[in-house]
Amino acid sequence: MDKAQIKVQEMAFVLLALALLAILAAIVFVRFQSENITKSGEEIRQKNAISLLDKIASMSELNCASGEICIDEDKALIISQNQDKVKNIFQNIKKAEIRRIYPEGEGITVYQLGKGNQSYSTFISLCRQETGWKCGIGLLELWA
Amino acid sequence: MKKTQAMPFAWIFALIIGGAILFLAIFFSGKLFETSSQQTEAELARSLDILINPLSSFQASISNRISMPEKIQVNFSCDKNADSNTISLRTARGKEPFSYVIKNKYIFADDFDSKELWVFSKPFEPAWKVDNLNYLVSKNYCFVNPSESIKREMSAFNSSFIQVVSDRAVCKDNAVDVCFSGVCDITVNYAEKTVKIKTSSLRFIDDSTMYGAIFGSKNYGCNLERLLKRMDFQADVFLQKADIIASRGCNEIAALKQEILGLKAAINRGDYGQIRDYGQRANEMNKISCSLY
Repeated sequence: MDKAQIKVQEMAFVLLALALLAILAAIVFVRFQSENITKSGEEIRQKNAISLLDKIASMSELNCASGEICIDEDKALIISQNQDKVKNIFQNIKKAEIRRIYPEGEGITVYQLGKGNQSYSTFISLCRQETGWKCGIGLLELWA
Repeated sequence: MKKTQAMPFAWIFALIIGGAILFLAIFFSGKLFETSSQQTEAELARSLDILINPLSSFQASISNRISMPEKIQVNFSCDKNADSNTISLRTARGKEPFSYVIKNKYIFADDFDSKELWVFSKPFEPAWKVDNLNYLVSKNYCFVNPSESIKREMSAFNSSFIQVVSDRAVCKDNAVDVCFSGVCDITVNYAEKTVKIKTSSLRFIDDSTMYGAIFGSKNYGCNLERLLKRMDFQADVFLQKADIIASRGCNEIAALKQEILGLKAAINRGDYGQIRDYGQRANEMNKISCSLY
Protein backbone atom coordinates (compact mmCIF):
# COMPACT_ATOMS: atom_id res chain seq x y z
CA MET A 1 0.00 0.00 0.00
CA ASP A 2 1.58 3.30 -1.00
CA LYS A 3 1.43 6.58 0.94
CA ALA A 4 -1.35 8.11 -1.17
CA GLN A 5 -3.63 5.10 -0.61
CA ILE A 6 -3.07 5.33 3.14
CA LYS A 7 -3.93 9.02 3.03
CA VAL A 8 -7.16 8.34 1.09
CA GLN A 9 -8.07 5.65 3.60
CA GLU A 10 -7.39 8.03 6.48
CA MET A 11 -9.60 10.66 4.88
CA ALA A 12 -12.33 8.12 4.31
CA PHE A 13 -12.24 7.14 8.00
CA VAL A 14 -12.33 10.76 9.11
CA LEU A 15 -15.22 11.36 6.75
CA LEU A 16 -17.06 8.33 8.05
CA ALA A 17 -16.52 9.48 11.63
CA LEU A 18 -17.74 12.96 10.71
CA ALA A 19 -20.82 11.57 9.00
CA LEU A 20 -21.61 9.35 11.99
CA LEU A 21 -21.19 12.30 14.33
CA ALA A 22 -23.48 14.43 12.17
CA ILE A 23 -26.09 11.65 12.04
CA LEU A 24 -25.90 11.24 15.82
CA ALA A 25 -26.28 15.00 16.35
CA ALA A 26 -29.20 15.07 13.88
CA ILE A 27 -30.95 12.19 15.70
CA VAL A 28 -30.57 13.94 19.08
CA PHE A 29 -31.75 17.23 17.60
CA VAL A 30 -34.78 15.72 15.78
CA ARG A 31 -35.76 13.85 18.95
CA PHE A 32 -35.50 17.04 20.99
CA GLN A 33 -37.49 19.03 18.40
CA SER A 34 -40.20 16.40 18.02
CA GLU A 35 -40.54 16.19 21.81
CA ASN A 36 -40.95 19.96 21.91
CA ILE A 37 -43.53 19.94 19.12
CA THR A 38 -45.47 17.07 20.74
CA LYS A 39 -45.39 18.89 24.08
CA SER A 40 -46.60 22.21 22.67
CA GLY A 41 -49.25 20.36 20.58
CA GLU A 42 -50.45 18.62 23.73
CA GLU A 43 -50.53 21.92 25.63
CA ILE A 44 -52.52 23.58 22.85
CA ARG A 45 -54.97 20.65 22.72
CA GLN A 46 -55.39 20.82 26.48
CA LYS A 47 -55.96 24.60 26.51
CA ASN A 48 -58.46 24.24 23.67
CA ALA A 49 -60.45 21.50 25.42
CA ILE A 50 -60.51 23.40 28.73
CA SER A 51 -61.65 26.63 27.09
CA LEU A 52 -64.28 24.70 25.13
CA LEU A 53 -65.84 23.26 28.31
CA ASP A 54 -67.39 26.62 29.20
CA LYS A 55 -68.37 27.39 25.64
CA ILE A 56 -70.18 24.07 25.18
CA ALA A 57 -71.96 24.28 28.52
CA SER A 58 -73.28 27.74 27.65
CA MET A 59 -74.37 27.18 24.05
CA SER A 60 -78.05 27.56 23.19
CA GLU A 61 -78.28 24.07 21.70
CA LEU A 62 -77.62 22.63 25.17
CA ASN A 63 -78.25 25.13 27.94
CA CYS A 64 -81.42 25.44 30.01
CA ALA A 65 -81.77 29.19 29.52
CA SER A 66 -79.77 32.04 28.07
CA GLY A 67 -76.79 33.01 30.18
CA GLU A 68 -76.89 30.00 32.47
CA ILE A 69 -74.22 27.31 32.75
CA CYS A 70 -76.75 24.55 33.03
CA ILE A 71 -77.40 21.73 30.60
CA ASP A 72 -80.89 20.75 29.55
CA GLU A 73 -81.12 16.95 29.45
CA ASP A 74 -83.82 16.99 26.74
CA LYS A 75 -81.73 19.23 24.46
CA ALA A 76 -78.69 17.00 25.07
CA LEU A 77 -80.73 13.99 23.92
CA ILE A 78 -81.91 15.86 20.80
CA ILE A 79 -78.31 16.86 19.97
CA SER A 80 -77.10 13.29 20.49
CA GLN A 81 -79.53 12.25 17.73
CA ASN A 82 -78.28 14.99 15.37
CA GLN A 83 -74.53 14.60 15.79
CA ASP A 84 -73.70 15.26 12.14
CA LYS A 85 -75.14 18.78 12.52
CA VAL A 86 -72.95 19.73 15.48
CA LYS A 87 -69.59 18.41 14.28
CA ASN A 88 -68.36 21.93 13.56
CA ILE A 89 -69.18 23.10 17.08
CA PHE A 90 -67.12 20.24 18.51
CA GLN A 91 -64.09 20.98 16.32
CA ASN A 92 -60.92 19.24 17.65
CA ILE A 93 -63.02 17.25 20.12
CA LYS A 94 -63.35 13.49 19.73
CA LYS A 95 -66.12 12.84 22.20
CA ALA A 96 -68.44 14.81 24.47
CA GLU A 97 -70.39 13.06 27.17
CA ILE A 98 -72.69 14.22 29.95
CA ARG A 99 -72.93 12.02 33.05
CA ARG A 100 -75.45 12.40 35.83
CA ILE A 101 -73.53 12.25 39.11
CA TYR A 102 -76.28 13.08 41.58
CA PRO A 103 -78.86 11.61 41.56
CA GLU A 104 -76.95 8.92 39.70
CA GLY A 105 -78.21 8.23 36.20
CA GLU A 106 -77.28 7.20 32.70
CA GLY A 107 -74.86 9.24 30.63
CA ILE A 108 -75.63 10.88 27.27
CA THR A 109 -73.04 10.81 24.51
CA VAL A 110 -73.74 14.18 22.96
CA TYR A 111 -71.08 13.78 20.30
CA GLN A 112 -68.67 11.08 19.23
CA LEU A 113 -66.22 11.06 16.36
CA GLY A 114 -63.70 8.63 17.75
CA LYS A 115 -61.73 7.79 20.85
CA GLY A 116 -59.79 10.62 22.46
CA ASN A 117 -56.51 10.25 24.31
CA GLN A 118 -57.21 12.52 27.18
CA SER A 119 -60.38 13.73 28.86
CA TYR A 120 -61.18 17.08 30.47
CA SER A 121 -64.26 17.58 32.60
CA THR A 122 -66.25 20.11 34.56
CA PHE A 123 -69.17 19.84 36.95
CA ILE A 124 -72.39 21.25 35.59
CA SER A 125 -75.95 21.66 36.66
CA LEU A 126 -77.94 19.06 34.72
CA CYS A 127 -81.65 19.81 34.54
CA ARG A 128 -84.84 18.28 33.18
CA GLN A 129 -87.96 20.30 32.46
CA GLU A 130 -91.19 18.75 33.69
CA THR A 131 -93.82 20.86 35.44
CA GLY A 132 -90.85 22.84 36.72
CA TRP A 133 -87.08 22.37 36.43
CA LYS A 134 -85.59 19.37 38.23
CA CYS A 135 -81.86 19.73 38.55
CA GLY A 136 -79.01 17.54 39.66
CA ILE A 137 -75.25 17.50 39.44
CA GLY A 138 -73.70 16.37 36.19
CA LEU A 139 -70.27 16.08 34.67
CA LEU A 140 -69.47 17.34 31.20
CA GLU A 141 -66.54 15.37 29.85
CA LEU A 142 -64.65 16.15 26.64
CA TRP A 143 -62.11 13.86 24.98
CA ALA A 144 -59.52 15.49 22.78
CA MET B 1 6.70 12.94 -9.27
CA LYS B 2 4.38 10.99 -6.95
CA LYS B 3 4.49 13.78 -4.32
CA THR B 4 3.35 16.44 -6.79
CA GLN B 5 0.41 14.22 -7.89
CA ALA B 6 -0.75 13.42 -4.31
CA MET B 7 -1.04 17.08 -3.21
CA PRO B 8 -3.64 18.22 -5.80
CA PHE B 9 -5.71 15.05 -5.10
CA ALA B 10 -5.81 15.84 -1.36
CA TRP B 11 -6.83 19.41 -2.14
CA ILE B 12 -9.55 18.37 -4.57
CA PHE B 13 -10.82 15.77 -2.12
CA ALA B 14 -10.88 18.29 0.75
CA LEU B 15 -12.57 20.90 -1.44
CA ILE B 16 -15.31 18.51 -2.61
CA ILE B 17 -16.03 17.12 0.84
CA GLY B 18 -15.75 20.56 2.48
CA GLY B 19 -18.12 21.98 -0.12
CA ALA B 20 -20.55 19.13 0.41
CA ILE B 21 -20.48 19.59 4.19
CA LEU B 22 -20.93 23.35 3.83
CA PHE B 23 -23.80 22.86 1.36
CA LEU B 24 -25.54 20.38 3.66
CA ALA B 25 -25.06 22.65 6.69
CA ILE B 26 -26.55 25.65 4.85
CA PHE B 27 -29.36 23.53 3.37
CA PHE B 28 -30.37 22.01 6.71
CA SER B 29 -30.11 25.26 8.66
CA GLY B 30 -32.36 26.86 6.00
CA LYS B 31 -34.85 24.00 6.36
CA LEU B 32 -34.65 24.29 10.13
CA PHE B 33 -35.34 28.01 9.98
CA GLU B 34 -38.32 27.39 7.69
CA THR B 35 -39.68 24.65 9.97
CA SER B 36 -39.29 26.78 13.08
CA SER B 37 -41.14 29.68 11.46
CA GLN B 38 -43.89 27.26 10.33
CA GLN B 39 -44.07 25.94 13.89
CA THR B 40 -44.38 29.50 15.24
CA GLU B 41 -47.11 30.26 12.72
CA ALA B 42 -49.02 27.10 13.64
CA GLU B 43 -48.72 27.83 17.35
CA LEU B 44 -49.82 31.44 16.83
CA ALA B 45 -52.83 30.42 14.75
CA ARG B 46 -53.99 27.87 17.33
CA SER B 47 -53.28 30.29 20.17
CA LEU B 48 -55.33 32.98 18.46
CA ASP B 49 -58.19 30.50 18.16
CA ILE B 50 -57.88 29.51 21.83
CA LEU B 51 -57.63 33.13 22.97
CA ILE B 52 -60.95 33.83 21.29
CA ASN B 53 -62.65 30.85 23.02
CA PRO B 54 -63.40 32.55 26.35
CA LEU B 55 -64.83 35.50 24.47
CA SER B 56 -67.22 33.15 22.70
CA SER B 57 -68.77 31.77 25.87
CA PHE B 58 -69.62 34.94 27.79
CA GLN B 59 -73.09 36.35 27.66
CA ALA B 60 -72.11 40.02 27.66
CA SER B 61 -69.94 41.99 25.24
CA ILE B 62 -66.28 41.74 26.14
CA SER B 63 -62.95 42.95 24.82
CA ASN B 64 -59.32 41.92 25.10
CA ARG B 65 -55.99 43.17 23.78
CA ILE B 66 -53.77 40.59 22.11
CA SER B 67 -50.09 41.25 21.69
CA MET B 68 -48.26 38.87 19.37
CA PRO B 69 -44.62 37.95 20.00
CA GLU B 70 -43.77 39.28 16.55
CA LYS B 71 -45.39 41.15 13.68
CA ILE B 72 -47.67 38.85 11.73
CA GLN B 73 -49.57 39.06 8.49
CA VAL B 74 -53.05 37.57 8.82
CA ASN B 75 -55.62 36.93 6.10
CA PHE B 76 -59.16 35.82 6.80
CA SER B 77 -61.47 33.89 4.56
CA CYS B 78 -64.86 32.30 4.95
CA ASP B 79 -66.41 29.26 3.32
CA LYS B 80 -70.17 28.99 3.71
CA ASN B 81 -70.32 25.45 2.31
CA ALA B 82 -67.71 24.17 4.76
CA ASP B 83 -69.26 26.43 7.45
CA SER B 84 -65.85 27.72 8.46
CA ASN B 85 -63.47 30.64 8.77
CA THR B 86 -59.84 30.23 7.76
CA ILE B 87 -56.97 32.17 9.27
CA SER B 88 -53.84 32.31 7.10
CA LEU B 89 -50.97 33.52 9.20
CA ARG B 90 -47.43 34.41 8.15
CA THR B 91 -44.55 35.73 10.21
CA ALA B 92 -41.96 38.08 8.71
CA ARG B 93 -39.46 35.20 8.37
CA GLY B 94 -42.03 32.69 7.08
CA LYS B 95 -42.13 31.74 3.40
CA GLU B 96 -45.56 30.15 3.13
CA PRO B 97 -48.55 31.22 5.25
CA PHE B 98 -49.94 28.69 7.71
CA SER B 99 -53.67 28.18 7.28
CA TYR B 100 -55.89 27.14 10.13
CA VAL B 101 -59.59 26.36 9.74
CA ILE B 102 -61.96 27.44 12.52
CA LYS B 103 -65.42 25.94 12.37
CA ASN B 104 -66.90 26.88 15.72
CA LYS B 105 -66.49 30.65 15.63
CA TYR B 106 -67.69 33.61 13.62
CA ILE B 107 -64.75 35.93 13.03
CA PHE B 108 -65.32 39.36 11.55
CA ALA B 109 -62.02 40.96 10.64
CA ASP B 110 -60.13 42.64 7.85
CA ASP B 111 -56.74 41.30 6.78
CA PHE B 112 -53.92 42.85 8.78
CA ASP B 113 -50.17 43.04 9.17
CA SER B 114 -49.51 43.97 12.77
CA LYS B 115 -48.22 42.91 16.16
CA GLU B 116 -51.09 44.16 18.27
CA LEU B 117 -54.81 43.69 17.90
CA TRP B 118 -58.00 43.98 19.89
CA VAL B 119 -60.59 41.25 20.05
CA PHE B 120 -64.19 42.07 20.88
CA SER B 121 -67.15 39.84 21.17
CA LYS B 122 -70.85 40.44 21.28
CA PRO B 123 -73.69 37.93 21.33
CA PHE B 124 -75.91 37.65 18.29
CA GLU B 125 -79.36 37.21 19.79
CA PRO B 126 -82.25 38.23 17.56
CA ALA B 127 -84.34 35.91 19.76
CA TRP B 128 -82.08 33.60 21.75
CA LYS B 129 -78.27 33.79 21.82
CA VAL B 130 -77.13 32.08 18.63
CA ASP B 131 -73.42 32.54 19.41
CA ASN B 132 -70.95 35.28 20.14
CA LEU B 133 -69.55 37.17 17.19
CA ASN B 134 -65.83 37.86 17.39
CA TYR B 135 -64.36 41.04 15.93
CA LEU B 136 -60.62 41.35 15.41
CA VAL B 137 -59.60 44.99 15.13
CA SER B 138 -56.10 45.97 14.04
CA LYS B 139 -56.51 49.57 12.91
CA ASN B 140 -57.98 52.79 14.27
CA TYR B 141 -61.70 53.39 13.98
CA CYS B 142 -63.47 56.63 14.82
CA PHE B 143 -67.18 56.42 15.60
CA VAL B 144 -68.77 59.79 14.89
CA ASN B 145 -72.00 60.59 16.71
CA PRO B 146 -73.29 57.09 17.37
CA SER B 147 -76.41 56.37 19.43
CA GLU B 148 -76.08 56.40 23.23
CA SER B 149 -76.09 52.59 23.49
CA ILE B 150 -73.32 52.20 20.89
CA LYS B 151 -71.34 55.02 22.52
CA ARG B 152 -71.59 53.25 25.89
CA GLU B 153 -70.65 49.88 24.42
CA MET B 154 -67.68 51.20 22.42
CA SER B 155 -66.41 53.17 25.42
CA ALA B 156 -66.74 50.10 27.64
CA PHE B 157 -64.51 48.16 25.24
CA ASN B 158 -61.80 50.60 26.35
CA SER B 159 -59.70 49.99 23.25
CA SER B 160 -56.92 52.24 22.03
CA PHE B 161 -58.07 51.44 18.49
CA ILE B 162 -61.58 52.84 18.95
CA GLN B 163 -62.42 56.47 19.37
CA VAL B 164 -65.96 57.76 19.96
CA VAL B 165 -66.42 61.44 19.11
CA SER B 166 -69.21 63.88 18.36
CA ASP B 167 -67.18 65.82 15.78
CA ARG B 168 -65.40 64.15 12.85
CA ALA B 169 -62.63 66.75 12.95
CA VAL B 170 -61.37 65.23 16.22
CA CYS B 171 -60.78 61.81 14.62
CA LYS B 172 -57.18 60.58 14.29
CA ASP B 173 -55.72 61.12 10.80
CA ASN B 174 -55.21 57.43 10.03
CA ALA B 175 -58.54 56.31 11.49
CA VAL B 176 -61.41 54.80 9.53
CA ASP B 177 -64.33 57.15 10.16
CA VAL B 178 -67.66 55.52 10.93
CA CYS B 179 -70.53 58.00 10.68
CA PHE B 180 -74.14 57.54 11.72
CA SER B 181 -75.25 60.56 9.70
CA GLY B 182 -73.59 62.11 6.67
CA VAL B 183 -71.05 60.37 4.46
CA CYS B 184 -67.78 58.90 5.76
CA ASP B 185 -65.41 55.98 5.04
CA ILE B 186 -68.13 53.81 6.55
CA THR B 187 -71.68 55.15 6.74
CA VAL B 188 -74.26 53.52 8.98
CA ASN B 189 -77.93 54.08 8.28
CA TYR B 190 -79.37 52.79 11.54
CA ALA B 191 -83.02 53.31 10.52
CA GLU B 192 -82.62 51.37 7.27
CA LYS B 193 -80.22 48.91 8.92
CA THR B 194 -77.49 49.26 6.32
CA VAL B 195 -73.74 49.82 6.42
CA LYS B 196 -72.25 51.51 3.35
CA ILE B 197 -68.57 50.91 2.62
CA LYS B 198 -67.33 52.47 -0.64
CA THR B 199 -69.84 51.20 -3.19
CA SER B 200 -71.21 48.22 -1.33
CA SER B 201 -74.17 48.31 0.99
CA LEU B 202 -74.45 45.62 3.67
CA ARG B 203 -77.74 44.89 5.44
CA PHE B 204 -77.57 44.07 9.12
CA ILE B 205 -79.98 42.54 11.63
CA ASP B 206 -78.91 44.00 14.97
CA ASP B 207 -75.97 45.81 16.59
CA SER B 208 -73.80 42.71 16.69
CA THR B 209 -74.12 42.19 12.94
CA MET B 210 -73.66 45.94 12.38
CA TYR B 211 -70.25 45.70 14.07
CA GLY B 212 -69.58 42.64 11.90
CA ALA B 213 -70.17 44.71 8.77
CA ILE B 214 -67.97 47.55 10.10
CA PHE B 215 -65.02 45.48 11.32
CA GLY B 216 -65.12 42.59 8.86
CA SER B 217 -66.91 43.57 5.69
CA LYS B 218 -64.85 41.15 3.57
CA ASN B 219 -66.46 37.99 4.94
CA TYR B 220 -69.61 39.58 6.33
CA GLY B 221 -72.12 37.98 3.95
CA CYS B 222 -70.63 34.51 4.33
CA ASN B 223 -70.44 34.71 8.14
CA LEU B 224 -74.00 35.99 8.36
CA GLU B 225 -75.19 33.04 6.26
CA ARG B 226 -73.30 30.66 8.59
CA LEU B 227 -74.93 32.31 11.59
CA LEU B 228 -78.42 32.06 10.14
CA LYS B 229 -77.81 28.40 9.29
CA ARG B 230 -76.81 27.78 12.91
CA MET B 231 -79.90 29.67 14.10
CA ASP B 232 -82.06 27.54 11.82
CA PHE B 233 -80.62 24.38 13.42
CA GLN B 234 -81.18 25.80 16.92
CA ALA B 235 -84.80 26.53 15.94
CA ASP B 236 -85.15 22.85 14.97
CA VAL B 237 -83.80 21.82 18.40
CA PHE B 238 -86.27 24.16 20.13
CA LEU B 239 -89.18 22.82 18.05
CA GLN B 240 -88.33 19.24 19.07
CA LYS B 241 -87.95 20.37 22.67
CA ALA B 242 -91.36 22.12 22.42
CA ASP B 243 -92.95 18.79 21.42
CA ILE B 244 -91.31 17.06 24.41
CA ILE B 245 -92.54 19.59 26.98
CA ALA B 246 -95.98 19.79 25.34
CA SER B 247 -96.28 16.03 25.94
CA ARG B 248 -95.47 16.72 29.61
CA GLY B 249 -98.42 19.08 29.93
CA CYS B 250 -97.13 22.52 28.87
CA ASN B 251 -99.96 23.75 26.64
CA GLU B 252 -98.71 27.37 26.48
CA ILE B 253 -95.81 26.26 24.32
CA ALA B 254 -97.99 25.98 21.17
CA ALA B 255 -98.00 29.79 20.59
CA LEU B 256 -94.20 30.01 20.99
CA LYS B 257 -93.81 27.10 18.59
CA GLN B 258 -95.76 29.04 15.96
CA GLU B 259 -93.44 32.05 16.34
CA ILE B 260 -90.38 29.82 15.99
CA LEU B 261 -91.85 28.27 12.84
CA GLY B 262 -92.39 31.81 11.49
CA LEU B 263 -88.81 32.70 12.45
CA LYS B 264 -87.49 29.63 10.61
CA ALA B 265 -89.41 30.65 7.48
CA ALA B 266 -88.00 34.22 7.74
CA ILE B 267 -84.45 32.81 8.09
CA ASN B 268 -84.90 30.69 4.97
CA ARG B 269 -86.25 33.71 3.04
CA GLY B 270 -83.36 35.89 4.28
CA ASP B 271 -85.89 38.48 5.46
CA TYR B 272 -83.96 40.34 8.19
CA GLY B 273 -86.92 42.56 9.16
CA GLN B 274 -89.11 39.50 9.77
CA ILE B 275 -86.29 37.79 11.69
CA ARG B 276 -86.26 40.79 14.06
CA ASP B 277 -90.08 40.83 14.36
CA TYR B 278 -90.49 37.07 14.94
CA GLY B 279 -87.49 37.16 17.28
CA GLN B 280 -89.06 39.86 19.45
CA ARG B 281 -92.43 38.07 19.50
CA ALA B 282 -90.77 34.74 20.34
CA ASN B 283 -88.94 36.43 23.23
CA GLU B 284 -92.25 37.72 24.59
CA MET B 285 -93.85 34.28 24.25
CA ASN B 286 -90.85 32.65 25.94
CA LYS B 287 -91.67 34.44 29.20
CA ILE B 288 -93.75 31.48 30.36
CA SER B 289 -93.11 28.93 33.08
CA CYS B 290 -92.08 26.27 30.55
CA SER B 291 -89.73 28.43 28.50
CA LEU B 292 -87.65 26.99 25.66
CA TYR B 293 -84.49 29.05 26.01
